Amino acid sequence: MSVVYPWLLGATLVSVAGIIAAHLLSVRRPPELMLPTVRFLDDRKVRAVARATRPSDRWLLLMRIAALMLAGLALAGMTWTGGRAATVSVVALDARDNAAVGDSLAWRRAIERAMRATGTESLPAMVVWSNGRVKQLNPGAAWDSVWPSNSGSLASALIAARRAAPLLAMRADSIALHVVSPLREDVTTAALESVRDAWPGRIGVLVVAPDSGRAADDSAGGDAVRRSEAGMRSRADVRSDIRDDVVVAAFARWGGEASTPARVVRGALSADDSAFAEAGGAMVHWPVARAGDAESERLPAVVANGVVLIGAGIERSSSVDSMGSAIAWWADGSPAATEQAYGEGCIRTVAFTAPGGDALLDASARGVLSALAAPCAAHGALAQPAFLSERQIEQLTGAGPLVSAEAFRAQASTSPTARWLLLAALALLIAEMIVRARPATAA
Amino acid sequence: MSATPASLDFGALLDALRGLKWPTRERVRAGMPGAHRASQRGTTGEFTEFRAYRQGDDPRRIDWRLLARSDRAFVRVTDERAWWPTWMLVDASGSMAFPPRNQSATSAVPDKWTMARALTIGLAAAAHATGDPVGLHVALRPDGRRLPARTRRGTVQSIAATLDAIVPTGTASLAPLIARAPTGARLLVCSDVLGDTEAVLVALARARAAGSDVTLVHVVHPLELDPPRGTWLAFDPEQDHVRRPLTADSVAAYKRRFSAWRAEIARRCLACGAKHVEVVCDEPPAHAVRRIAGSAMRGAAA
Repeated sequence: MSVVYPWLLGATLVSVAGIIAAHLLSVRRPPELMLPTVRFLDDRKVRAVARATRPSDRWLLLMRIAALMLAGLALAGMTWTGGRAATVSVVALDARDNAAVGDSLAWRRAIERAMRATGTESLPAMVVWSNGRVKQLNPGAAWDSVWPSNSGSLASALIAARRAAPLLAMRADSIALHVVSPLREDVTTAALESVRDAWPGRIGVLVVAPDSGRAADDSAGGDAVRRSEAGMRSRADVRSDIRDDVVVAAFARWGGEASTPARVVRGALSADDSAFAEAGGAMVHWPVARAGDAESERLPAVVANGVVLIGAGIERSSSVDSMGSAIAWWADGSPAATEQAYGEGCIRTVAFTAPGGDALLDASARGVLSALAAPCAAHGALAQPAFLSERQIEQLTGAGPLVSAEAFRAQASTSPTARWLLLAALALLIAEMIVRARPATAA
Repeated sequence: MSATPASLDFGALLDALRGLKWPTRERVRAGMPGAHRASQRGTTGEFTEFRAYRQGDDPRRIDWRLLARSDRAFVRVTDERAWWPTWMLVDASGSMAFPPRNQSATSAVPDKWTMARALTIGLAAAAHATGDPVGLHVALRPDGRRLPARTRRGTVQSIAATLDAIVPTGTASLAPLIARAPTGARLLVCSDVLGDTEAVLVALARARAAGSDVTLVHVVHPLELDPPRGTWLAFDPEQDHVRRPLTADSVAAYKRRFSAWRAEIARRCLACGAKHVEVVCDEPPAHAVRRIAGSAMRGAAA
């Protein structure tokens, strides 16, 4: 048990001592006696103060003491701390892209990882980011209860976490706040900096890659991994007449599972390829440049999905489709690959030659390969969102220890325990009035 | 004779008082023929003394034999006998209903009202047996009770029935009843004298001066003489605002004051010629009646 205002508890104990003293020095009205010759008695005060070794009206005394103690404990902010943990967590969960993630295990793993890092044993309070509501995470809670929404911001989530902190402060000595989110740039608002400063301690940031379903560390390195792995879910069928074509090996290595199939054609397109694209497939036309057709670039680098592919032998092989939208760019910003919708699917045209050597087998090629093998969801969807920079993440994380619960206990105006204590005190006072109203018996 | 606060066996009381007469303490005024010696000398057959003949005496009353023997004229003097109307003045104020039943549930001592009724009925029976007309005045709020003085049979029963129907309550002034009582009669005032004490004593003195034979029966309860132990808040049944603490250390002073007050009442009665009899409720009523009537008999004999 702990109290927020110990001096109020002390004042209550002093009042209890006063009540006991008053019962020991009770001023009692003696029982009445009819006496016609009362005129011959001394005309003195009817009431007299008498000291006694045992308190009078013991039931009344007990009820008064109990009522006063209960009210004093309630006003002093008493809470039960028998199961108080060292640290309690508040998890601000970015649920806006929850549906896009499709893998709740990633969130759960991220939360459990954060709890292990802070030594939290009890379940955290969940601040669902979508609308700022505070939600208690129950064991085995269905992730369907985390409603996706495209509204809300990190600032609103921090405000909600701060509102939840006073009640959580009754259960632990420290409060750890974790932000679990892919941390796209659109989470920031103008108020984020001032709201962040209002949280008096460190914030743990757990960056979650929305498509990979894996949580990364609180570092910029994880951010790079997240970005490179975006869009890797595709299965590409490469058709090439070139012997030992590195493109075939690259797609074979980095190809994954996807709902929409992709086909890469290194030669001329056929009617079957058009039908494949019209049926909803991603048709990638990556022709092999003939000798003399390719133009060498001063900087042989292509950017796709935010990952730069640099390798010797990357040259402009043909002109891109001006009607299509760019999915890969040269270093000067000109499109290196475009996508044109075709029926239910799309046809992608690659206007650069494959680099020589193992460049396509390197991790830096995943950006280009994933852009080429990605499903034909939409032209706009292919654009990769921007994420917070390392400096922004460091500012969000901050420095210093975890927040002490003492900072929030004073803000907990009423707790459920206090309400019950006040109700019990009120009931005792009513009972005391009933007992006091009963007629006095003879001395 | 056993008595309880709730009831009193008046039949047994009257049986115990059978044959009791209540003569006056002194000669009464001339009046209707009765049992009491009148102050007026008459010509009845009961010889009293000889007196020398004076001019104007009836010659027929001269004792001729004595004249022949002594050669002096004497007349025979006889006493007149007259009745003596008796009025019972009873106090039925709230203080007479003491102790209340919740305070005397375990006591065999009758309350003051029961004792006053027993004394009134017993003395009325004695007066009626003497041949006197007996009347009743009851001081009671808001209207008193009054029975005219009668000698006929059933008078005592009427008085008993009237008293039985009365419940003492409130404040009642006894002095006006004494003042309005007929003069030259016997007045028996039965009260605890806790109401208008001074007015009652003045009225008694005036009645006595007017020729009435006044007897004050002062009814006192043992609980008034010795209040119960413990700490109490005592209140006056007639004046509810008078409340005083009764504690162990205040009993001695209370007894002293109460005793002095009763002595003062007796002294004032003696001073004005009234008879004062204090009756404590633990005394058997028949014994108290005989004590009151007997002292009158001794006075008459003297």
